[in-house]
Amino acid sequence: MLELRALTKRYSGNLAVDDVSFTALPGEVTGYLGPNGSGKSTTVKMITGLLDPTAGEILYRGRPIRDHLVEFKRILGYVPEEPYLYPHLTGAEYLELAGELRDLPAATLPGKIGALLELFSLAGDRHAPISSYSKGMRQKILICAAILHDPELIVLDEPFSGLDVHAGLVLRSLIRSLAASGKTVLFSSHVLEIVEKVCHRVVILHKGRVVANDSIDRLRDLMALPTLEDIFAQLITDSDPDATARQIAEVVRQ
Amino acid sequence: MTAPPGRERRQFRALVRLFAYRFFDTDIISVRGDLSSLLSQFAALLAALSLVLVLMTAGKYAGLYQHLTEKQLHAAAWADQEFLISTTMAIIGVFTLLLWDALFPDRRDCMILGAMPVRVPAVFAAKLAALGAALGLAVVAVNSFTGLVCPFLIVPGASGALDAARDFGVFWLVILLASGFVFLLLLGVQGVALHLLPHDLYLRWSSLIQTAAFFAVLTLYFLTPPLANPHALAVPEDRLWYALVPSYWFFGLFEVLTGSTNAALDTLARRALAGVLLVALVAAAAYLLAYRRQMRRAVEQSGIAPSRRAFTLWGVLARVLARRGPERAILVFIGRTLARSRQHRLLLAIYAGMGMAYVFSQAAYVLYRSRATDFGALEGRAQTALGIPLILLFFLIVGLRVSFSIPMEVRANWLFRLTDPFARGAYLNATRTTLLLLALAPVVAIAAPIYMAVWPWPRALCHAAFLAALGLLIVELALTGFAKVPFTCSYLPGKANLKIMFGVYWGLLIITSEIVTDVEQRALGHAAGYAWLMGITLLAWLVAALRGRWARARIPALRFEEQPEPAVVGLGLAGPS
Repeated sequence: MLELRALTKRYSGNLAVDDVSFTALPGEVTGYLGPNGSGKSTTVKMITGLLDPTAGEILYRGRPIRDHLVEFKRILGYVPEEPYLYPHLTGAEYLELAGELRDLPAATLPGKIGALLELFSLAGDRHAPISSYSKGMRQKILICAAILHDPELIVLDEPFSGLDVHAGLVLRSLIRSLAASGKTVLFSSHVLEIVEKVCHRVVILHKGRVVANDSIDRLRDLMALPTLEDIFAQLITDSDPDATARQIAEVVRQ
Repeated sequence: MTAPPGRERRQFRALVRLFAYRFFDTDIISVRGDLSSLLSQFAALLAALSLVLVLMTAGKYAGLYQHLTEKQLHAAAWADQEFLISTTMAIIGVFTLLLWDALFPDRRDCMILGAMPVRVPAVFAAKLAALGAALGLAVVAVNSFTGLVCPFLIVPGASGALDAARDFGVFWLVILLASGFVFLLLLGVQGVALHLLPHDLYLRWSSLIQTAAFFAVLTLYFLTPPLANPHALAVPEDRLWYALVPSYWFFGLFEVLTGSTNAALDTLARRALAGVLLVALVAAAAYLLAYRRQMRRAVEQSGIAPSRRAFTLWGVLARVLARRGPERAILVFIGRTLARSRQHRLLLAIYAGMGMAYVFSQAAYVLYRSRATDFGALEGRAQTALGIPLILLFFLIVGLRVSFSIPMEVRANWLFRLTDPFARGAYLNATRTTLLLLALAPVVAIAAPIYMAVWPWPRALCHAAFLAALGLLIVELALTGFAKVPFTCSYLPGKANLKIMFGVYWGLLIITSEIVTDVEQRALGHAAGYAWLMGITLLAWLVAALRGRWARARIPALRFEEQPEPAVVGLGLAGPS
C-alpha cells in the first residue's frame, strides 16, 4: 500500500503541491487527475524519489520510503510523463541498460527483452536508434523498462501518450491485469475516458490540493453527474471552455 | 508565390545569425545571447597566437639583417614564410574540423526550417555566408599581427613603398588562398562522403572521417620535415615532400609572386593554384548537389546511425571485466556513448590532438633538429622520448575525464537516478575501467613495441612497466572526488576557469614530466634505483586507491546536477546561539 501523508512541495516559495494525502491500494488502479500545472507530475516525482518533499511523507507498506529508498526503488516501476531516453542507444540496448542497472539476471535478461519487444511490436526496430523512434515507440520502450523487473508498485505518468489504438488497448488491458495480480498501480492522466475505464478510484488535484478522492461510482452518485468528465469539469474548470475557444479564435484573426 | 525582397533579406539575416550560433552552440557549450562575447574571445585567442608568432619571427631579423648577405637572408626567410603559411593552414584546418557538423545543413536545420516558409536556396546561401564570415574572422584573427609585420620582414631585398605594398598584398592573398584551400578541401571531403555513401553509413563514418582529418592535419603540420631552403629544393629526394605537402605549394606561390624566378618554385606555385581550383570545383559541386538532395534526405532518415551489431568488442570486455550488472551496464553505456556521440568523440579528439601536437613537436625535435653530435643531445633525446607517452597518457585521461562531465541527453538521466543506489560503487569501477582501457592500455601497448625496437629490450620493458604503474596512479588521481555516472550530470559552463587552469595544468605537466623522466632515466641504469622507483610509484598508487575508497564511502549521493558556486560564500563563523 502506498500512502501519501500531508505531502507538500514548494519551488522557491511557490506552492506546487499542498498538503496532499491519499492511499493507493494493492490490486487497484488509482487514477491521479488534474489540469496542467496542478502538481500531478511533481507528486509523481516525489513518489519515485526523484524529488524531495518540502513537508509530509510517503509511506510504502507503512514505512517511510526515505528510510529505505534502495529497497523501495527496487520494487518501483515508473513511466515518466516525457519520453526522455538516450537517443544514441537502440531500443534493445536501452532495455538492457535498465535491466542491468536493476541487476536482473544476465542469463534471462536478453530473452525477456526480446519477448517484450516482440509483444510491443518493436522487434523489427530493436536495432534502430531511439532517435529514429516515433513518440509512440519511445513510449513503448518506457513501458517495457518500467515493467521489466516485475515491480510491485507501478507509477504511470501519461502512459498512453503517443500510443496507437492497438497499443493503447493492450496497455489498458495490461494495467488492469497488473492490478489484478496484486500490484499497486498509480495512474496519472488527462485522458478521462481511459481513466474511467481503467481506474478503481480517482484522486483529483487542483492548484496543488486534493479536491476529490473516491471511487468513480461514488463520485458519480455524490455529485449526481453521469461521467467523470462532468465531475472533473465541475470541480476544476473556472471558465466556460466554449467562450475561451471563441476568444482564442478572435485573437488569431486579429 | 514569391516572397517580397524585404522579407527575404530579413530571413537571410536571421538564418545567418542562426547558423553562426549553431557553429558554437554544439550542445557542449551553449552561447545563446552571448555570441559577440564568444566571438571576441575566440578572435582574441587567435590574435594572441599571432602576436606570439610575430615575436618569434620578428626578433631574429634585427640581428640577421646586420650580419647576413641578401642571399643568405633570403634563404633564412624561406623557413619563416613556409612556417607562417603552414601554421595558418593548420589552424584553419582545425577550425574547419571543429565546425564539421555545421558545414552542411543538418537534420535539425532541415526539420525546423523545412516547416518554415523559407526557400531552400536561402538556407544554403545563409549557411555559406555564415561559414564565410566565420572563416574570414579566423583568418584575419590568426594573422592580425603577423599579417601587419611579417610581410615587411620575410621578403629581403624589397625596397620602396611599391615593393612593400606588393609584399603586403601577396602575403594576404597567399594566406587567403591557402586558408581557402584547406577549408574547401575539407568541405569537399565531407561533401563527397555525403553524396557517395548511403546516409546511414555516412552518419557512422562522418565522425571517423572528421577524427582522421584532425589527426592528419596535426601530423602534417608537426611531422613534415623543415625543407623550405634552397639546398633542400635542389635535392631530388626532398622534392617528394614539396610535391605532396600543400604548405610548400603556397610557399612557392608566395615566392613567385614576390619576384622569385626559380623554376622549381614556379612549379609549386602552379600546383597551389591548380589545387585551389580543384578543391573549389569539388566543394561547389558537393554543395550544389547537397542543396538539391540534403534537405529531403536528412528529414527522411534518422540523425544517429547505430551499429547493426552491438558494440561487440566493448561488450565482451565489459562482460569479462565487470562482475555485477550495474557496473557492466555503466561500462557498456560509457562505451556506446563514446562510440556514437559526435560531441564526446570530438572533445576527446581535441584533447588527444593537443597531446599529439606536443608529442609530434617533440618527435620532430628528436627527428630533425637534435643532432647526436650536439653536446648533451643524446641525453636530451632519450629524456624526450621517455616523456612522450606520459604526456599523451595525461591528455587522454584528461580528455576522457572532461568528456565524462558533458551530459548526453541530461533529461534521460532519470533512469540512473531511479536506480543509482544499486549502482553506487559500480559507477566508479566502470569509470576506472574505461580510463584503463581507453587511455592506459593503448598508450602502453603502442609505446612498448616502439621502445623495444629502438632500445635494448630490458630497458624498454622496464620503461613500459614504469609507464603502466604511473598510469595507474594518474588514473586514480583523476578519479579523486568523482561522484557522477559519466554523461549523466548536468554541465555548468564556466564553473572552472579553464583559461587560467589550463595554463597552470600545462605548466605543472611539463615540469612534472621533466622531473619524472629525469628520475626515471637515472633509475633505468641501476637495478636498485629502478626497484625503488617502481616501489614508490606503486605505493603512491595504493595510497591513492585507498584514499579514493575512503572518500567514496563518505559520498552522500551521486551528483546529477552541477550546482553553480554561491554568489556569497559564508565563512561559518557564527557559533551556536
